[in-house]
Amino acid sequence: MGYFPMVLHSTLNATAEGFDWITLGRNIINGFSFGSIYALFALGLVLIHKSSDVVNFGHGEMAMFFSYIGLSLMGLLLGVNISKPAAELPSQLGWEVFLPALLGTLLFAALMGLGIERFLLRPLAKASVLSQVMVTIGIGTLLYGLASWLWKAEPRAYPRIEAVSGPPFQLGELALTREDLTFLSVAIVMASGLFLFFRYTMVGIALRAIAQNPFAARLMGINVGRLNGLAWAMALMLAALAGMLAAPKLQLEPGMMADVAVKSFAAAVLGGINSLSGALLGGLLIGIIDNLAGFYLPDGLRATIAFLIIVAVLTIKPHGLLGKPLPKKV
Amino acid sequence: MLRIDNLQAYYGRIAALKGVSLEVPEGTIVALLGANGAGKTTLLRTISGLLPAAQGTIEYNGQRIDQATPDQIVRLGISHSPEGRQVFPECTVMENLKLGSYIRRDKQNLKGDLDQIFHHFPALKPRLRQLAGTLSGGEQQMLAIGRALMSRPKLLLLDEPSLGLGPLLVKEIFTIIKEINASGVTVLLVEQNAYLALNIATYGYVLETGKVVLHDTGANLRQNEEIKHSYLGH
Repeated sequence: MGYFPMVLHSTLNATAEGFDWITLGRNIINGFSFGSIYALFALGLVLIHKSSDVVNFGHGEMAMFFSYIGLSLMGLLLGVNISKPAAELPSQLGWEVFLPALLGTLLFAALMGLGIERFLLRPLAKASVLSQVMVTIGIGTLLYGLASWLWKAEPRAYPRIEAVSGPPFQLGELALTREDLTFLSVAIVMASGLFLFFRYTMVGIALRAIAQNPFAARLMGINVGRLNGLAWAMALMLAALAGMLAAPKLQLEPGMMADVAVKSFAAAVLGGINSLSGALLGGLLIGIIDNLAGFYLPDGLRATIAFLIIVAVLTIKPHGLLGKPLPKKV
Repeated sequence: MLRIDNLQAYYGRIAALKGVSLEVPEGTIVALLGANGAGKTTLLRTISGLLPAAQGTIEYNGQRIDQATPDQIVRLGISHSPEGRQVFPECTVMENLKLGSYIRRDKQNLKGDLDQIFHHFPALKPRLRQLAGTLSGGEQQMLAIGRALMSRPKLLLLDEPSLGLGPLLVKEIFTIIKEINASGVTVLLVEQNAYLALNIATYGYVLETGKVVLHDTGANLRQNEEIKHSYLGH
């Protein structure tokens, strides 16, 4: 996190003068697309915060690292060693390569989540939340360095999934790419899946119980450490999914997620740091606002406008749009 | 059923239990009396594995449990309804009760267990879908006890069930504690209100600064001059 977010390249150029509805529509669609990625990140942040009170400041670097792992696995399947500078993968891949690589990356992410909780955070359980947050920053920095060393810092292209790179759908003059639709549907499916998980499964209810009162949760016989590990595993799997989906749009490099991570934190706080539906809403809003600001406002203001709106919202609704006051821990 | 021998425990660096020995025979209600800070809550927390035992032993049905984790202890049949109720405020009443049965494998019996809870606490039944945080103090206390019963305990640890409740509600709760005991659950009851506790207790222990200073049958303790003076307000 030691570098300032760079501006994401928009697929549109801000050259058009004046206002027209089509351009506005395009910007909103593009905002939805980025917003879905922010939402997937924010869901993971909320998941971790809900169970263990920690904000994972290494989330962006972890997602970046998983994108590289995914690329390495794709390379492995195609017989290309991606740590060689000249190595190149085809720009489009079929499911038969993408899916195994995705599954392998998800497994890697889950194990990393379990490991972080068990070996780095659990020993700090009695320390302040700030110390735990420091550890997450440390992990992020470590992964950044590791990625630069293993895979070099030069940006590289990331293969797209063939099936979602087909011709866009036309809504009148508006083009809706399959990729945009994929992002949005993945974000919505994940948010609803998590909602159902927290609402109806015993493990999900137990995770909520831990967030509300870890002391009483232990009295119920809930193994708090094991469930926090599960929350970390799930959150990092979401980050891996988001990373591998977003990488073609962002270009792969160690700093690729810095901007996404900052906006996702903003999204999680805007929606309410303990609300899953808030994470989805916050992510989409930030995506749209940011895209509109990038198009209609002078360059320098783009990075600030989303945050100005967040500050304004938080002064009126301190717990975020859909968040609830955090229960007092005993 | 429960036998504690020379138990010592620390709260941070402060010795909160300085060699406590006591026994809870099966089927009884044993009251644990004493002023604030005497170590009553610490004792319950050490039994349920939330605080480590520094020295001494806790035996449950002949098995050492002083090094066991809280979830192992719940599985063995010891359930703890903590001081201050500690219900999950953002969960519904139903979810709170389900969390009480978290360790149970045989979830099919959920309905039978719930019926048992409603038998003791009919007031909870119309509130199943309500968030626990919106219940009154008395209802939250009932929920806390009901939740502790959902693991089907053989030994129930009750910490200050009368705390902050009006006299009528307290009377009701104590009647229910007797009912629960009559249904076969052994009870270890921590209570500031010595009069109430000794009314239903088979046996009582008095704790002072981490030590047992007096123990006798409930009936005898009610007659004891020292108890009358310090705890019964005569």
